[in-house]
Amino acid sequence: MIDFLTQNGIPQYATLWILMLPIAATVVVVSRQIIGIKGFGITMPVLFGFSFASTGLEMGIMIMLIVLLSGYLIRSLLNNVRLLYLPKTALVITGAAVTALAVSPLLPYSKEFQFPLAAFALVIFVLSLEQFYAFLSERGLKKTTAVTIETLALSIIVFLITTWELLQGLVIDHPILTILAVVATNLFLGKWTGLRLSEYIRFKDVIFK
Amino acid sequence: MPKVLGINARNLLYIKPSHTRRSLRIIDNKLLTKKILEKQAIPIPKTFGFISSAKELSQFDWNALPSSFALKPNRGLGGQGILVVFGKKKNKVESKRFLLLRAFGKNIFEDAWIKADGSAVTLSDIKNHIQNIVDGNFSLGNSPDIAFFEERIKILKLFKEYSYKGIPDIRVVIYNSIPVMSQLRLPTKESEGKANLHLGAVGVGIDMETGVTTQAVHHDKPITHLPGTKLSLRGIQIPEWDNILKLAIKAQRAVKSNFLGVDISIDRDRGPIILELNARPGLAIQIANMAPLKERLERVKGLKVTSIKKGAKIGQDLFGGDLEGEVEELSGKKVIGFREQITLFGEGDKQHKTFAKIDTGAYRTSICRTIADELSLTNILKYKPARGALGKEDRPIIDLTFELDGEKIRTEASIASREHMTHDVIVGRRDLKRFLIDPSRGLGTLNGVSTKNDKRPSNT
Repeated sequence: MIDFLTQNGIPQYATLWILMLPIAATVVVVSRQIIGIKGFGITMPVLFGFSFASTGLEMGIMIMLIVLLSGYLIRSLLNNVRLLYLPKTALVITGAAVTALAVSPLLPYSKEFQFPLAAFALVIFVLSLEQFYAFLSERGLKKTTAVTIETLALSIIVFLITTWELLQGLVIDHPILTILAVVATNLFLGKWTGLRLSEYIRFKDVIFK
Repeated sequence: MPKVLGINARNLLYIKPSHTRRSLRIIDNKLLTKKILEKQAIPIPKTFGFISSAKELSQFDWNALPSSFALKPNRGLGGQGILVVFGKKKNKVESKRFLLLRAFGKNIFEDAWIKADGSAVTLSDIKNHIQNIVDGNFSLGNSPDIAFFEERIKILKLFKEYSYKGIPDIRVVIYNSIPVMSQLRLPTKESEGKANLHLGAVGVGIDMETGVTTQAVHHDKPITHLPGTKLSLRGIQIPEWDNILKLAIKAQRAVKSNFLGVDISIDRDRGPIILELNARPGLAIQIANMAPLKERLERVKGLKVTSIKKGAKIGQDLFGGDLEGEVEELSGKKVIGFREQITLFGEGDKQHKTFAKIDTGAYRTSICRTIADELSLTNILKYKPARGALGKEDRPIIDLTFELDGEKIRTEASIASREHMTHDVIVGRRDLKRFLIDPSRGLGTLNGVSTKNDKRPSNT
């Protein structure tokens, strides 16, 4: 299968990343259903994890935090002016993009930093601001901070697993098997009704009384 | 291991199969829910008006509003976007735009309402908040929403000292027309007067049978006292408990959902009122009650419930009694009723099982002469004077061992002629030191016959 795709002009790394997508999604599902890490949906941790792969972990986290913090500051400033929701979000995105550009020459670039993919990583961080602020206005700063940290943790797990060379080799060698394994895992998780690991902690007083 | 209900099981096993698209559409829409409940003559808070667009906002008649009300988003989640005001100040508060207004020679004061924390909300604040609601900033999936004004429930005196500003409510989890677990939700300063646990409100577990509170939860931690006070949260009797349970079942039947959290508040004048229905009841209620919910749900699954009254009764019978267990644990004493089964031990292997009257008015335990003969308890230690129903007499005292509610007690008991009395045995306070007596218990069966309506003279 991989050979066929390669012969028809699709580079191997592209196939690899596309096949890694369902695996990354499954990793997020396991973290949610079995462990109980919340995070913003499936999309954000997967996108962040992939972004980290193109920027390197430390750089990625640094850029992400810069974008989030600058976005937060700009939003706080804009809160004093009464603006409709969407224009305000666009302004926040503008501000975060400008800040990211401004600080980018100061960042310690490493060889992991792959352009043009790394630029896309920045775009992803900036665009994630919309979902981030929707959550912030609904649930408040404390909850948002907690979920952001959990999302970050999930993204790092996704990053570590998708960049794991052993797994990459397996996926390239057995693409069909990979898909089947992913489908089977998710069918199982879809029917899983057991307690999440986090719930054992939350309900410890009831369980171990 | 106790069967605690987790989010996975709640969603897959209970929420999904218990709802139709229609029932979810109703429950997630507060105004529609109210309409349907009202049709069934179920008490709900009055709606003063609603606003669903910017145009309606500009045309709204503000003078028609009472001085206290709750402003809510129709499709809000978890208490977000709710604004409660307590009183009105006319033309008292300086507008925030006063510089601009003064420049045009306009009135720089505007109407304002007072919030729970004492701060003022001006008319423009309220308009702004409504705009936010209508824009969908508080609704499920951020879709455009309706803002509505609702009657503010008047708090019961009983609850005043337990709640910070807001109105406490009673969450009853209903499954299959049977109330399975409930908690009293107390608003705190942290929760800004709202009764939602994840916002920092306190949940107090309730004994399903009696409606008396047991233990409590705050931020998923078990507590016994109201945070920051010395107020014990144990032992609060919820008024109109039976009615609250029945009301919750009625609401569940009205929206045709099989698994539901029903929020009920008690108004000082109107009594129990359905505040809200919740298709996804929170799970911290298990910590408030120190009881696993899944176990209870499994017990009532598939039971046939023919009437609302029966549903309430089943819930009370199955899931009550936690309080008693707790009292026993705390005091180290057993709780018994005024009538209990007793086993008397005689010479050799002889035993006699009967019902005894628990009588704190008597000092000594007393048994009927026929039983004493049957058990060959003939070794009389001494004679003691006793004042009985028949006057003063000297009664023989014997050595007696008996078992009451699993406790074996060795004592000195007197022998009396009790052939014509309802009970062969009375247990006196000398032998009751290890027990607490609940006089509402013990109306059970005596010799297989219900004695609740017993017409026989109630001599002891």
